[in-house]
Amino acid sequence: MQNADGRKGYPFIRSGGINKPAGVRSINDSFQPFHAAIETGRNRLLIAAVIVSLTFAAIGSKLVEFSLLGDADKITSRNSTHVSKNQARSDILDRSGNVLATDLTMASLYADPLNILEPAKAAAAITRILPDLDTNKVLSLLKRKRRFVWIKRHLSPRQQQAIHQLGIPGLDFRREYRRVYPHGSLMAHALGYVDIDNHGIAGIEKNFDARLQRESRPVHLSLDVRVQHKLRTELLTSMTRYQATGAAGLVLDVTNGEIISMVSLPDFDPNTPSKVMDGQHFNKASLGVYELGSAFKILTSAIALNEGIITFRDGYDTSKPIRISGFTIKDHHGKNRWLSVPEIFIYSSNIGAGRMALDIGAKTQKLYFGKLGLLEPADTEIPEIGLPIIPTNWSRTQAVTIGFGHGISVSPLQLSAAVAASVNGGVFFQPTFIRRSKTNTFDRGSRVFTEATSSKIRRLLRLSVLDGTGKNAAAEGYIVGGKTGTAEKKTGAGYDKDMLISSFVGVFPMTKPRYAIFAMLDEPIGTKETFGRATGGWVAAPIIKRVVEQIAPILGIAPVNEASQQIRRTLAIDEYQLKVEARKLASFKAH
Amino acid sequence: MKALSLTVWLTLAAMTGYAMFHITFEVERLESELREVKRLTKKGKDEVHHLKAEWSYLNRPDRLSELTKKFLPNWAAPKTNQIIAIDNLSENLTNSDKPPKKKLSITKTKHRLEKPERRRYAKR
Repeated sequence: MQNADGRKGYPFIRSGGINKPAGVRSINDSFQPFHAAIETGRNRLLIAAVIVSLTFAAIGSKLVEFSLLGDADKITSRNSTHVSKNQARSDILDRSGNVLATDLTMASLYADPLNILEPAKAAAAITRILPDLDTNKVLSLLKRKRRFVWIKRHLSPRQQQAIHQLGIPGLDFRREYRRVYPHGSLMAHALGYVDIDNHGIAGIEKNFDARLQRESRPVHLSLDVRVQHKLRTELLTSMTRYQATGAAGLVLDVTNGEIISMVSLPDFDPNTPSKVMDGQHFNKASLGVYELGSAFKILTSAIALNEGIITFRDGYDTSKPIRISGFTIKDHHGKNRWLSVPEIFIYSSNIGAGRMALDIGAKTQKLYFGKLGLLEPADTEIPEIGLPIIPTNWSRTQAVTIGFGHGISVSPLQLSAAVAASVNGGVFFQPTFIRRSKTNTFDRGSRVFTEATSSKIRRLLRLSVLDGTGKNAAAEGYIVGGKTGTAEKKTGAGYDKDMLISSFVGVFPMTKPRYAIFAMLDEPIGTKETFGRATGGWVAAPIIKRVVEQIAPILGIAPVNEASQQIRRTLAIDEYQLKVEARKLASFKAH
Repeated sequence: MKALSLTVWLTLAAMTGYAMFHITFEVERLESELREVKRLTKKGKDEVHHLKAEWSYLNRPDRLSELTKKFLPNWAAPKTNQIIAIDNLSENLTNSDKPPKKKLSITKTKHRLEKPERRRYAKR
């Protein structure tokens, strides 16, 4: 094609007068409006091209971003099953690593009511699979104007599968942790339990709640499953046999205060805390405080020996009752004569112990009781700790009654710890539920008695089992020592003779004490075998014998020949000679 | 020359692009593999955890004592006089524990030969 200039090309493209000298008019000038249109077109084309390339650039950059810097995690996590945010609580183990409490994941069923199409049908289907739910209740839940309602927490895998197969939209599961106690009620009172949201609300679970939720490291307790089982079984048997309303027992390591076993009966299953009945929660071993009776004579003797007030050669006249501030203190099966200190101990003479306490004086008695942790609640790792009931006015009268264990109420845990201090060489350890290792040195104990005093108390306790009220506790070969305790329960103003707290606190092996063991029955009733008696010597001491026989091999205590010269010499009291009449009249009716 | 450099540059760009995407996808693949391994590890750990709880449940002392009663009816807790320190065991007792090997082997052979079918084989 040729234009007017005779040059090749498209006339309208050549137009525009770009190369045209100023002032020269050419034939092209007639194309002016056409040129402008072309210009506009080119501009528009350019703009469109820029927009399109920008869009592609944006898409491209986004593509690169996705593929290279990818948000892959976010994308996949949206499709994964929902696990609730709360962390699993860490495990609780016994001293040999047996699992006592652990968290298992379980599915919990929830609904989004706004997405449920036929609430009535859905409710019927759900209750068919979960028969313990009420159809009407489920229906009202499904009709709520909310986006989230719990239907049932902690389903079994089978139930979850069944609900899943219903295929009802609006129902979904959330994985949740549930606390499981494989040993059931065995350690219920020590472990405590958790609420539905896995927060500890009793026992170790409550005390270590923050630690258990925060750390994955398990908590190692000092408790021993096997010992706990033996103690619980024996207590339960005796509780049934003597129709007692309750029982409590403890095994304590006297060398460091570790609690090896703690039983309180009746107990409960921490797996189902909602089904617990009244009274089962109550921890008789640490929360209950009782007037524990004659076991306090151990402490009275220890204080008097430690203060140098008495020696084994001394004694008191027990033929006359003590009359003080209108009270008369008598012995139930009195010997009506002068009794030496060992005799006072083995016959469990209230008059003798009372006179001893008078010589000690209220002030010194209180001082020692403070050192033995009897005036304050025990400082240990569970919240269920009883506040001891001590006299507000600690006068001479109180000193006398406290001398034989009345007028002061402490928990069995406190008494066991105090007795442990009097036999272990004289060092008091706060009882603990946490296993103590050689490396951690958080409690070295505090000295209360001298080594010499402790050695004398060991002889007295052994003598009480050999010749005194504690004969029924003698587990052959394990050199058991101990003291019975029988206290009448307070009813209003006075004491009820038929409502007893019968207990025994024992220690073994006496040559080198390792474990203190306590057993108590609440309101036992005597049987034919006990000649109707329900005192500590008859109902609690046999428990100690049976338990020691079974747990000593578990705890690695080897039996010895008790008749050997060496052992007899270690535990002999030179000043004490068994009198013939003493053997005849040795009474189990100890108070 | 221009065309050559353009080709070189384009090739380089293409190669870089390919390498970049290749590495990215490889990393992604490995990451997803890692995620899967982690998931399986968690699942495995969870299972072990469940099994530990179950083991503890099955080893309840009361259950064990029930099983003992059922399957070991003659079993009783060891008596004090049945426990003895190893040092106190007499030497005679340890010596007599050695099995009389010779005697045993003789009886065995004799017994074998006495069996009629064995005698028959011996004749052949």
